[in-house]
Amino acid sequence: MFQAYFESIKYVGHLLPISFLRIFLGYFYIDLALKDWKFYNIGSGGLADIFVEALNKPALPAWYRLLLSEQIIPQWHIFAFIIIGLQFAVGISYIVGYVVRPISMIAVVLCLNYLVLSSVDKEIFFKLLISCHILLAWVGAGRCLGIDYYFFKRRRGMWW
Amino acid sequence: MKHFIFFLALIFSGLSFFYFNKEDKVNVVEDRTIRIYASASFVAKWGPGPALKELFEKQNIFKVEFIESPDVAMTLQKLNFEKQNASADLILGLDQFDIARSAAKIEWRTLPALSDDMISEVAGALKSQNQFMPYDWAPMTFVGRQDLKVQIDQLDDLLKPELKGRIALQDPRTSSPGLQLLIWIFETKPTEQAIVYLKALMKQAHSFSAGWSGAYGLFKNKQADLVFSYVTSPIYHVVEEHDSSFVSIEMKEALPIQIEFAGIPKTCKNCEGAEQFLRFMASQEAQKIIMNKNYMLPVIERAKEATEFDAIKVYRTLPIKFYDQEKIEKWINQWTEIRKNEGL
Repeated sequence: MFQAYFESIKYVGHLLPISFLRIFLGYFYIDLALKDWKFYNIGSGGLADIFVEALNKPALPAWYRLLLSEQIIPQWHIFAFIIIGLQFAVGISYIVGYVVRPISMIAVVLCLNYLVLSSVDKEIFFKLLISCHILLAWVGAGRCLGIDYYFFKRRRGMWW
Repeated sequence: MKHFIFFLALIFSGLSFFYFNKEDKVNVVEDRTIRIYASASFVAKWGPGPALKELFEKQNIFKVEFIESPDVAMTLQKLNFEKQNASADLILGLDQFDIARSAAKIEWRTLPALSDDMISEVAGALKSQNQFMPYDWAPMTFVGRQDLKVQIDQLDDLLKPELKGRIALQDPRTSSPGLQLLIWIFETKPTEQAIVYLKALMKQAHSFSAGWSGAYGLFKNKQADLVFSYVTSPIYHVVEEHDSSFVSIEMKEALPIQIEFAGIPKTCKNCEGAEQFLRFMASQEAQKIIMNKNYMLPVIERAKEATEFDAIKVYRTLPIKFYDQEKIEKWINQWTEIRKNEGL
């Protein structure tokens, strides 16, 4: 597996620039998750603030506001735990290049969620991030400098 | 697919493991930390927060951690939904209206008498409630420049044609000073007259900013001649900018007062520490810091002696009142209706 990791540069070297983007995004998600995790352990701040900020956002779709106030906020601890877990999953997956394709789809869903929750000034950033995730999924960015190459070589298929 | 599921399961099991093993350690560390929710201006390095923290930590075993809150209303919403999980030990920056808003939703601790040195204007606020401690205050009025050509002695003078479009006001739906002005008008005039007056005042307004700082910025940039602000505002210009051309205007009507309160939610984790911090905030040293950094008046006697604040003339003020949320809503709705119908 270790050999395949470096061997990938030789065979799918054209994906190398994308791999750097993938690793950078992985670092970004790990950093985000660690910050949210710290606030989560304190029991306040981080995602809790985002939920409250969203409730006060006038442009929030009515169905999402209802979902937020009736379902998410009463059990915000569970939802925050899931979101942080998914952030860690995206971060680790991108850094090691493992199951990058399906994880990119999760990252897109997370970004869409942030797009609705966060303030208007962050919209462009999240749209840009979504396009990056789609790009990573499209090219199968885990195949270069990633564990995905090892499985791709043996099993092929759309998961790698 | 199974790799994907296995990967997610691994991440979540790892996270659960850390969560259950970290909890005790976090609680031990937090024992001596007082978590205080305060506004950005309070926490900023030019605000009173850092100096208060430093002095308090020198005198006590507790550590202070300020958590910046963009808006008090949002903090209260958060406290409401976090319930027992809320980590806030102390909330700063509440005003009379926030107290009315939060009364039904959040439970607050009853506070012991923290100072018997409170000035008379503020002491009234403690007669009707014992859950919130005032820590600074200031009467509110219109602030202008000394070279203002128009003579203003009462609310009706604001309707003079020379001031058309020259008054910077705040939106009462989003701003506490804006709400103060609205309530002031309804308190000093009979309802019918107040509505007529509001209609006329809206035509005089340059704009209704979402917050105090927006309106004050317009006034400072000379886009407006008057702004509804604190009587202490001119002192800021004297101290920070050595500019004494700003004046607060005395009115025939008694002025409304804005008091900032601190409260300890019942869900506090370090309640003892929070109470200690409140006691500290009522001390002479802390009051001086708050006065000098927040540009508000101290709540205890003698704290402003021999300072620039001693020169501030505290005009006749209305007694502090806690309004029912319903009444506030009614006034705001009337204001909204007028604004809508006037096509403003």
